[in-house]
Amino acid sequence: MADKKKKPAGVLGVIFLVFSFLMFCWPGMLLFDKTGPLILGVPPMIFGTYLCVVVVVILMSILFALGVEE
Amino acid sequence: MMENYWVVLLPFTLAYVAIALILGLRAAKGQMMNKIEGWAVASRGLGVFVMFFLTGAGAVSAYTFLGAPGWAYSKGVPVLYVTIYLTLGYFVAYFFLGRVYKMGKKFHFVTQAGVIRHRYDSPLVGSIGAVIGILGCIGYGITQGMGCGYILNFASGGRIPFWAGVTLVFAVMCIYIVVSGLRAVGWTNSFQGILMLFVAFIAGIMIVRHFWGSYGNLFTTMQSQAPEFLTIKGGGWSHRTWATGIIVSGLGIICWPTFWVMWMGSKSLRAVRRTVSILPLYWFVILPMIVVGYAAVLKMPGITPTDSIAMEMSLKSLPLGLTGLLFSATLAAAMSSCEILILNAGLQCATDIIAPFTKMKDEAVTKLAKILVIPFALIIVIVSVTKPKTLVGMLLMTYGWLVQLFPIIFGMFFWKRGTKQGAAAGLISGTVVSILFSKVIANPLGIHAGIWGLAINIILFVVVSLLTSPPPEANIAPYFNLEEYKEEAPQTAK
Repeated sequence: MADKKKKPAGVLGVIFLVFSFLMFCWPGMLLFDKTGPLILGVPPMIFGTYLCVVVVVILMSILFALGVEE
Repeated sequence: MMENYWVVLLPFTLAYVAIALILGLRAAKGQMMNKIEGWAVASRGLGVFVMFFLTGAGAVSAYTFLGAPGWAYSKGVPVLYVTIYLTLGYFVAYFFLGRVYKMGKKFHFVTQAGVIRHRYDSPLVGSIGAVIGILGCIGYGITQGMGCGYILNFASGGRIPFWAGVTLVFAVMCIYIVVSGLRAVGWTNSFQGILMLFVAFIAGIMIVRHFWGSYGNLFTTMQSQAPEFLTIKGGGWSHRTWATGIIVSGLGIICWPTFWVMWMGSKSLRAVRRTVSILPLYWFVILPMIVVGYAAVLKMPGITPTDSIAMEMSLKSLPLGLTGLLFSATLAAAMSSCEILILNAGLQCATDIIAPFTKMKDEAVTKLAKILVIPFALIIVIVSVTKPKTLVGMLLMTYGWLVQLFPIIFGMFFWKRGTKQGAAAGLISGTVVSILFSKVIANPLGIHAGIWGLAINIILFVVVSLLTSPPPEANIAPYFNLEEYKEEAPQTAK
């Protein structure tokens, strides 16, 4: 039972990871690669970068809470 | 700013070095520092608080106060690649560190190469892994050593020569690392990490207010007068360079042997997982200093070296006391990364390169590892004095070498068919290609040298592994059925 529960959670982890790379490395980050308008007072790339930090922490915390190990 | 600023700044900076020395020496109190697990991984007893700052401060380094504002000032947006690769890199690491921790605890491993040697049943592959790890530590250590030299030279108004500054800082670090090992790194990094956070935000806000009044005013002006600083291409990077740089450096996180030592020092699996899941929040420490770099673009053009821009800005805008704290925090950032690098270099050389081919006892290996910290520190000092490249350029090159460990680390836990012959072939060829494409033909087609090395590495690792006999099931079982090996702890592998 433990294995059966762990596998979907592991898949969720991989989905989160792939999403993060696509969104914040390439090509998603190109959405922010422009000079303006400012978002929350900062250029889009700075906003996108720290959005990445916050989103990844949330995703990892979800995995941690779900007990996803590897 | 007064010409005699060094009268205030130098005592601040030297006082910080003295505090780090005291903290580092006190960390050994009541601990078993004559055993390798006591010295190298703090008897596996570090909690979330210390682990957070140990890993966080250890990761961001002098780059926070020197490289980041320097790159924002000279290139703009490409500076952000560091924050992104650190974040994504730790996400990748999240999937490995549980296995790293479990294997370390069960088999009493204290280094990355120790696990590699055991998994691939080959002292040679372990030694190659250790050599690559040590090369990476030396390369990264040089960037931090240069940071130490810049800071003390600047803080003393040029009275402390660059070489003397680097030597002084490394001598102090050697003393407390030899005495207290990872526990010293944990204690000093906690202090350094808190200091960095506090100073980065206070100084960042005050500098921008002094020159621009507000962040909005700064960036609105940048949009109209220097828009090239706000995009990746404007900074001279292609999207390909951006993406491959992040992938190489991100995958490189799990390859850093220093993080393995830190993770193995955790008191529990839950503690190390919790630490890594919240760790990217620490990268906010870089943000205010990036903005300081932007603030300087239109107000202080033509400053060289660009890595000193935050210090130049602080001298023109902050009270001397706060500038002194900024200098201390900058030195803290450099030292917090250096400490674990020289500890790991000595440790890996003793436990993974020399000990496997001798019959040394635990106490003798510990003693040797402590002694070896000193020559490695000396190598970093000597090379740092030649100021080989800018901080970020050197950092990127180092990651290109280290990421060559990724295929065998992945194979260690996720591909049973990986063999020692495949691992050796991939590691050697990947590293050679990476160095070649860093030094001789720089980043062909705009793709990071590490990616080229990685491509050759993976192909050879897979092909040679499939052409050679699979490793015995009994040897690799612990790496794939970790839950079944909870209580067994063979004492042979170190």
